Amino acid sequence: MALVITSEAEALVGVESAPETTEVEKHDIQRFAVAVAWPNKPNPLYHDEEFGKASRFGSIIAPPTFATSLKWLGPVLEKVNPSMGPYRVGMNGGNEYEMYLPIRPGDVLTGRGKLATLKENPRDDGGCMLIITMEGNFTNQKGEKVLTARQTLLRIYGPDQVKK
Amino acid sequence: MATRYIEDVHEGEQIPAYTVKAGYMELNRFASANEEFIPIHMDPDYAKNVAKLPDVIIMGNLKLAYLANALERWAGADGWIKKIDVSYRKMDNVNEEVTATGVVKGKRVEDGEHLVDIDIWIENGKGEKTTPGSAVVSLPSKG
Repeated sequence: MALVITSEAEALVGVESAPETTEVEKHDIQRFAVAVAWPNKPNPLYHDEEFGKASRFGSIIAPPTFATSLKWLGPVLEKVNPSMGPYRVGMNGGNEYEMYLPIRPGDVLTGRGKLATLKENPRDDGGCMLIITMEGNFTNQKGEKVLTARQTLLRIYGPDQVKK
Repeated sequence: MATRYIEDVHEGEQIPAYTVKAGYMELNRFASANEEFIPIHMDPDYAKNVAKLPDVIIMGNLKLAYLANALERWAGADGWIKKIDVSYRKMDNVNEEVTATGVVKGKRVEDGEHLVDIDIWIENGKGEKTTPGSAVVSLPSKG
């Protein structure tokens, strides 16, 4: 018998959530570039407009892991969470990004997320570890594939939070 | 930034270490840029007394960004990180030094693209790999 996974949650595996649209603003890219480089200077390709114009991309582009700031997990988890009950602590288990095209200021990205897998492992204390994996696919305003994101979330359920 | 060509790359080559002592300045700036306002990454009282962690911990997403920094510095002006994949196995605490680095596993050609497969990881001050992963970088060819 499942410890925390419900049939309602399992039925959502592979079902695409409502699309989330993000307009990528220049300042968001620049601020992200400063934050990931701090205390060093940001890479000018993500920050300096003159440098960007002269580059092979013709403009500044977003740093490689800018996708961590895109919101796509929410619509997936909103559907998964209600049947699953409270847990003790949640953690980021891992990220994977495949980047097909650069993200530029003004791009309008549409992310479509889905639950990929649900797995639970019993823990010695009688609780369990729930492993949730999700996949998000992003296209730009031209309909081109920009990136695929895969996210692993870990949730620890205490012995009092699993089905008996 | 100079260009690195596929011909310059050899198996076993080390990705130069990118080290940051990630304090509250680094964490808070990243929290704002990544819209990642989570108590275990910003509030020592919550981290220690509620989440029962030794201290505030560095965001996984920030460690991922440091790995990308290490890779792009190595890959040069014409490189492109095609894929990056990491697992967060151990926590890294605020104000600790974290080092992003890696080693080249091999080279291959796929659909006319010259690709480098790289093992990457974040290492803590004790030399433990807290965040192992892999990356694929495409580089130009001289040929």
